Amino acid sequence: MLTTEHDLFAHFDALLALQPDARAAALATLEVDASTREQLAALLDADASSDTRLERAIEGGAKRLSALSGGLRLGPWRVLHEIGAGGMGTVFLGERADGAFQQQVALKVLRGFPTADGMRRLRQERQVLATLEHRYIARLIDGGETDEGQPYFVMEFVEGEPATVFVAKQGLNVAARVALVDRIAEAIAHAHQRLVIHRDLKPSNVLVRSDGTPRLLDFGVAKLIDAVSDSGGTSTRVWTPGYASPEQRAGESITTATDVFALGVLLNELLTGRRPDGAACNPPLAAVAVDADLRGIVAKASADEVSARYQTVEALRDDLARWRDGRPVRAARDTAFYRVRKFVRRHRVGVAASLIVAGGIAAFVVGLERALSEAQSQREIAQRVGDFMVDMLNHVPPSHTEGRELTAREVVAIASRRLLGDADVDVQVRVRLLERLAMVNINFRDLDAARKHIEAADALRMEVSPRVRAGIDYTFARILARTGDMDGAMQRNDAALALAGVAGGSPGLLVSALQQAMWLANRRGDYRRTLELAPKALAIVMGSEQAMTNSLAILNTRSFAEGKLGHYDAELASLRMADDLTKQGAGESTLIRSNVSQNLAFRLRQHGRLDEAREVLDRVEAYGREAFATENRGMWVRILVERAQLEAHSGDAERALRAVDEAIAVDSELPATQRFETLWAVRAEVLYLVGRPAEALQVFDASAISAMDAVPGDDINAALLRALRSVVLCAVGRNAEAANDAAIATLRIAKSPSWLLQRLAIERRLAELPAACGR
Amino acid sequence: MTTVGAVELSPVDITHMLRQWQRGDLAARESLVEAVYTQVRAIAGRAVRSNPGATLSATELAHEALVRLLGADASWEDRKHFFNVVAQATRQILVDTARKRLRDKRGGGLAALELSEAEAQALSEDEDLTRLHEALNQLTARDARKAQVLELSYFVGLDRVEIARMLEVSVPTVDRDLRFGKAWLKSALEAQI
Repeated sequence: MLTTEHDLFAHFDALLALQPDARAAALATLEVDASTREQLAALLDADASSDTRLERAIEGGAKRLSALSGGLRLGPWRVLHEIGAGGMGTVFLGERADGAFQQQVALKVLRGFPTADGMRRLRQERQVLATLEHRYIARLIDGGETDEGQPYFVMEFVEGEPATVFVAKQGLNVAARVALVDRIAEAIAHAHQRLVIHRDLKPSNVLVRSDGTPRLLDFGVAKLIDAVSDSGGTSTRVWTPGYASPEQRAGESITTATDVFALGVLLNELLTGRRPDGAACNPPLAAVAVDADLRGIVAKASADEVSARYQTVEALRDDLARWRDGRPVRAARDTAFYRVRKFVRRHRVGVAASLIVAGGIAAFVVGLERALSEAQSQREIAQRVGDFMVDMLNHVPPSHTEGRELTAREVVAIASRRLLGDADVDVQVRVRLLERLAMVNINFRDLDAARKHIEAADALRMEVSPRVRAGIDYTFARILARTGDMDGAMQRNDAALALAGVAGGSPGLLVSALQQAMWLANRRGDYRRTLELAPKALAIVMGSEQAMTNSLAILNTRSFAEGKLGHYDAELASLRMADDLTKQGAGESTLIRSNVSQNLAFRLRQHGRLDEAREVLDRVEAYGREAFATENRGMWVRILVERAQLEAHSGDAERALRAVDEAIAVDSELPATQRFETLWAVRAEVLYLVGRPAEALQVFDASAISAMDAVPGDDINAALLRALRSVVLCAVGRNAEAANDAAIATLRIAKSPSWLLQRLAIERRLAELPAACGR
Repeated sequence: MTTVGAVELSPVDITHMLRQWQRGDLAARESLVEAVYTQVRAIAGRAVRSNPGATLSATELAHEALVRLLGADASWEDRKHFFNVVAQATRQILVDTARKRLRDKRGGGLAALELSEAEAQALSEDEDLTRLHEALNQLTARDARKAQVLELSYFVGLDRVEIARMLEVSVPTVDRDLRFGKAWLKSALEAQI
């Protein structure tokens, strides 16, 4: 009987529905002919088998269609299989195809097709590389081009492990690690004598055989690839981030110093188990204790400046030998002083933003840097400041620094204890550092500590130069202003202005003092003085180091005064000027840019120029959504809040609520310390503004406004919330409660000495209250 | 753009040909298969030139051919019909290439002893490919849909839901077809060791 396909399928299906161990028995009782039974048995077997022959055949076919692989020949070499691929091309394991001798080789087929000139240079390079014969260098055996003209070359195949893996597995001690690097350096020095530079030294290019001898791969290959990929010159496009020297990354000419740099980086990696990007090696490589001399050697080898590096690999080897023998090394010891310097350099980046985002650390770092960089002009004092820092850091218990950087706060605390204590510190050093520490404490919001430090510095003012005195006065003024003593602050600041303005003064300080004078004038309601000072301040900052940031601050302060004097057009013109400034500074931080624009939108809205405000805000939003997608999320929240208020004032309830809800959502993902506490209040305000006071009130009811009252330092926020609620309560006709909130708000503002802007907002808000609800 | 004979074909032409084929024009289908065939070869060749050692899977080859010929934003209807063509063309090209290699190896008088292990493995895979091709043909003769399900799965890489949608059958049906078809092909390979 002939079985149709359908029957076969039906039987197969029915058998599969059974438990696997019941299938054979069921099959035996099926009423089918022998060949069908056999076929079904074969199908069941195949179904149960996990063999992937089928898939392998299809994928293998596809791969052979698109790849150089089995059976392919390059000259006398047969390609066996791929062993690696990278930016430069693909590496295959190969062997002699003519059976002349048994040898396995690495066949490197370079990516791309060179020009005729490139091909000529390639051959030249291969000639040079073929002359490299050294026990630690993998030999270049052959080279040529494929039928299609693609260059390849043939290298000795090395069986070994990357240096980092070898060191990790063997658990080598510090001396053995240094010895390994010295062998690598020996090979590099050999090549340098033949005018060959490696150019791409990194752990994966140093294979170590099981007997511990290294073999360097890919000597000069980076240059070969250059020959393929361009027409000439000193192109340096092939390098590995982290291991490439600064001059290599900048595309400048490559010298033997490039390899010295990479050796330094490699040495560091093998000692610390950390890759150049700071990540841990994989597999993990245990760090060994590294003394100051060895750290000095690493630092000198991998110095950014070519002139600061060892001039030759031999010089580096010489220092490694000195270290091994316990003789003094030529590299400077890596002392605490250097660590301070490095710390300072690393934290410089944040300085530009410090004007707007108050950064406690930035001020300290800038000050320290200033003190340290005076090394040329006031060498002696700078040296003593440095010595103090070194001495101080040397007194840090080792457990404190083991394996990690000191935080700025720790440095400050340690310095503070020593400076205010009886430690024997040079008066010049003491005064400078006291002044810096006062500044740092302002930024840490610890005004008592700030005052203690500045008074200690001021007591010694006659011991120091007028320039340093100006700094003391400036900082003192800042502290007094923060504590509400505006008159005292102005006196101090005027003294600073006078001292900084004289010949030999500090232009940076003069700018700061002028800005502070404007700010103080505003705070004292002397807006005309602000306008008098502004042109001078602007004139000085133009061309100064931070012209952009300073100009923005000055324009901002000026606009405030203009607004207070009722010169609204001038006010908006100042803000527009600031906004335009940020547009010109292409490379400027988007954070500063959006801050300025957001401020402009805010003021435009306050003046009822909603369309113009929207235009500005649209622009900020357009780039902000992306620019603040992962960092500076707080700025994005502020933009959204401004959007919410703008739309609420325009009557677009839906859009306003959408913006505020997004703001709340984004805010909830911020770290606790960066969160805006009162976004719910913005939501309430929006609801109130679009004519839904009852819902606004519900928001208040659900919140912890009474808890806010209990926070002692937060008078301003509490006052703001009370003022807002009083308006809302009034809108729903609960006049008595409204009056009560208004009264509490007024009381709390009186308690808070600073935060002028917020105060004004509250006062304005309360002034809007109808008499029935008012104070 | 791709070339069939001397004619340059744009996605619009391809779509047009698809429509013609749907209306019953079998010549249009032939042109389509030819276009895809050419394209798959070109893609594989280009991959090697731009990156030696690059390997594309059968699925990647088919998808790239599809995107290049039809454009990335082709409608589902157009894709649906085109998938069939791509699956057959990809299968055809893999088999043709395997046969050619087998001929070269045997005709070239290369003694089996000289083959490296990698070469020997490639050879056996090529043989499997041709057997697989024949087994699929047999299956088509007996139950065309099962063969189609297999082609779409292996040569276009569609998943079971996509295949069900395309052939307008239920997902469990596709599952059962796949299981049977796979066993069919595997037992065909096992039968000739």
